[in-house]
Amino acid sequence: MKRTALFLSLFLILFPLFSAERFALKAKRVVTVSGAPMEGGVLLINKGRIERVLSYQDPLPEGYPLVEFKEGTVYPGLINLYSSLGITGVGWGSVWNDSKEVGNLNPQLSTFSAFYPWSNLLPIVRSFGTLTVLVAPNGGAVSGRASLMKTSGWNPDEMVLERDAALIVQLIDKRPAREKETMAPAPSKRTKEVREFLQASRVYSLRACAGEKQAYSPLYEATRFLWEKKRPVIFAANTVEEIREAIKISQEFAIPGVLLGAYEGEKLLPEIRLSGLPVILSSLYEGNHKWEEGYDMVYRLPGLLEKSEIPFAFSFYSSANAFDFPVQAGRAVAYGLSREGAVKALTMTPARIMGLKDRGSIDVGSWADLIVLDGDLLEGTTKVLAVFCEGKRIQGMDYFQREAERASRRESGE
Amino acid sequence: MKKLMPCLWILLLLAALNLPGEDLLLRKGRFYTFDRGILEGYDMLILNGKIRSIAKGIVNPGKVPERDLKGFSVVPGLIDSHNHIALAGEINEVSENITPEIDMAEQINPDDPNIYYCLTGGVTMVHLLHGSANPIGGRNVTVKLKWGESAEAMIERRALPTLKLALGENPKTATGGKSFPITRMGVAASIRTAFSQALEYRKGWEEWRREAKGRKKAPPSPKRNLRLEVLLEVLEGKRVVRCHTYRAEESLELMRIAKEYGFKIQGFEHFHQAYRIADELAKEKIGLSVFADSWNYKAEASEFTPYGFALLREKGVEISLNSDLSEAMRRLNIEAGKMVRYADMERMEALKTVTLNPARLLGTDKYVGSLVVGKDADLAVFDGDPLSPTSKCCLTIIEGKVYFDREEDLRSRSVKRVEEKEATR
Repeated sequence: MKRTALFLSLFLILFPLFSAERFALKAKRVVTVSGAPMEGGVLLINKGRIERVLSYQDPLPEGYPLVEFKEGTVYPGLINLYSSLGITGVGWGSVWNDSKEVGNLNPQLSTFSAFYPWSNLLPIVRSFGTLTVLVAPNGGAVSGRASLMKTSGWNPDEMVLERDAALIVQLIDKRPAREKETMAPAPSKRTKEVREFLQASRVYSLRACAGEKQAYSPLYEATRFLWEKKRPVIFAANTVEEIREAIKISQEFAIPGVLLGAYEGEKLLPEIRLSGLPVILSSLYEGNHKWEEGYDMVYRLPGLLEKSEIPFAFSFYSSANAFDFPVQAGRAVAYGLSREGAVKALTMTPARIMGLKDRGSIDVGSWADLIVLDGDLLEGTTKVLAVFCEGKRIQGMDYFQREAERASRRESGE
Repeated sequence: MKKLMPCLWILLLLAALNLPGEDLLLRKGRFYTFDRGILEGYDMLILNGKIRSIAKGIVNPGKVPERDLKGFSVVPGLIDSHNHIALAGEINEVSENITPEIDMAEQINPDDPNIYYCLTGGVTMVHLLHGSANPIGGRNVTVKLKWGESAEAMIERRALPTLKLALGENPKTATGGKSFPITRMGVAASIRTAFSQALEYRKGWEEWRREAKGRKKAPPSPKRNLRLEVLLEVLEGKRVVRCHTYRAEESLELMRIAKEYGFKIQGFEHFHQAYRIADELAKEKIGLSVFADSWNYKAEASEFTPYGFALLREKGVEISLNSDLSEAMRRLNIEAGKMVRYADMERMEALKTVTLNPARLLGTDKYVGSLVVGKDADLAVFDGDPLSPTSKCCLTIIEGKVYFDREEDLRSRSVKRVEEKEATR
């Protein structure tokens, strides 16, 4: 017994030294996002979290091996709230596509259940700085449940932050343009369906919580988390009508709604602001604008949201090109968004929309999800120097790097 | 003859009045030249659509309209070396698989709004290609984006005549497996067969000419074949090949075919696996017209690395970036910036991937692609670093004429809004 205690105490004393759990990350610039950027900063990291934030002048405490980036800028890891990472692979084929199911009401679907962490795409996206993704389904009206995942880890269980993080609801009228023109405006059928579903789901949850007997429903059972954990419903809504409906539904059911897309949002800025609903923007590369809207419709919306003080986050659905996530955000800066606003919408705002308090900004107590760049985050010329996921530095090469290395040797095989 | 003289004079006068291009004096800009570096606070004089001089404090030769560009960056108009806009959406003649008689110049739609959207990204010249459904598709056309003018006026006739070829998935699957070819073997065989037929055709004519020579009554001539005559242009070096490909083994095969028949592959399109045969491409001096990093959208596009551009650059393969119609045509400058990241290029070198390199690929580098006295005044003006996503194009000029002006665009929108309000009142 005594011996065990001795070993245990020895282990506890020595463990931090062996595991290099503690280190100091020193860089030319630290963009904390929650506060002003620091010129010259040192982050003390302990057990995956940021223990202290020091300036260059502060003395370095003992026991923190120094990891220094003389020309590096540290940012919090990026957070993408509408992603198909892990559920889509190569191209258009259904073989690799697990994002879109048949059927209209599919809350029983969970992206976690199909998340494929061994995809080539995942390490690429991670080595370009995205450390947290909300993996979202995109079929039907009620598409399914989105899972909040880390991009580091070996298997889905290690990577999951929250299995049922949000419900994805599509209010977008996906009928072909020709039909839309000839038929009366009919997103009403879809919203009616969504309303009925949410109503039934709420009643089911209330009864279940009250211990009342009722027939088991896989659909309503799957959405109990909405009411019992107060998790958000993300409404894909682009037109004025769709956005208004999303706001109305959120209010009717007193659920924390989030707008996804909000393409025509600039026509409804006061209403969106008043509703308190945050916005997740679709990739700025996806603009299929109409001539009357002006060529910069997609690019100017983020700046307008910022001016209206509507919280918003960027997103990038394509899993293959999601490494362009920060660069596409830079387009919004060209058309009116502040640089700080763009960085915030890639990090802190998405974290807060999902209720993550210890990611998305560099604060004492936050997870050390950090990326070190050789320049500005929003520039396509910038290179990533290092990536830390919960304090652990990513070491291996991603597919892109491996492939280039292999070609330079002109050797086939791994 | 005397009677004709006045007519001739009038014609000459008309020609003089109709001189291409306009006059413009740009003041105090930041000019990105490849031979003299970045010239800060310089002026540029444009006469008749050509760059006349780039210097400090140019004296206005008289009544040339001026524009103050203080704080703005002026770069050569961007060139998109592979695009399909303004073709009325019809870019594939899928009814047959060898169709070089098709000419994209015959179906330019000058009213396609994409022309304007391209201009908003600083693009001034695009190479419009036949699609990739056929092993041998159609003849392509290079145009300048003279929005508001006729299709005829847009065509850039000084560009190299090109022919589209395509390998891999697209020609394999164009007819859904209903007709030959549905394999890469079939694609290669189709191309070989077509060029062999062209050679046979030429032989037929040569024989006929020999027989007909000096004879009073010539024997009946062979029938003309417009399809094969285009292939003869390629074999005689009057037209170059631009070939769509993704995988390296199919490109190597086309390089063999080109050697066998003696034609020039000017550039490979998309070519995600180019880095695998960097040495071979460099040796044959074949250019690339590619995306910076868009990939994985189909099986053959799933083997790729953007860092491969470092290898290609090291070996001396010239890289041009293209948009292939997607909205990327509005951000080619950002894609160029990524070459700093992926290929360790200097910034100026990166800028060349959307200006001078595609100009060379299209055989138009004598006239466009850099800010050099004597070249066409095709310019893109950005409000900041031209390689940054955080700056925007504000002005696009072709041959001295402004075809996109952001301020003008915003003004016309607000006028329209006022008109709409009044109309509803």
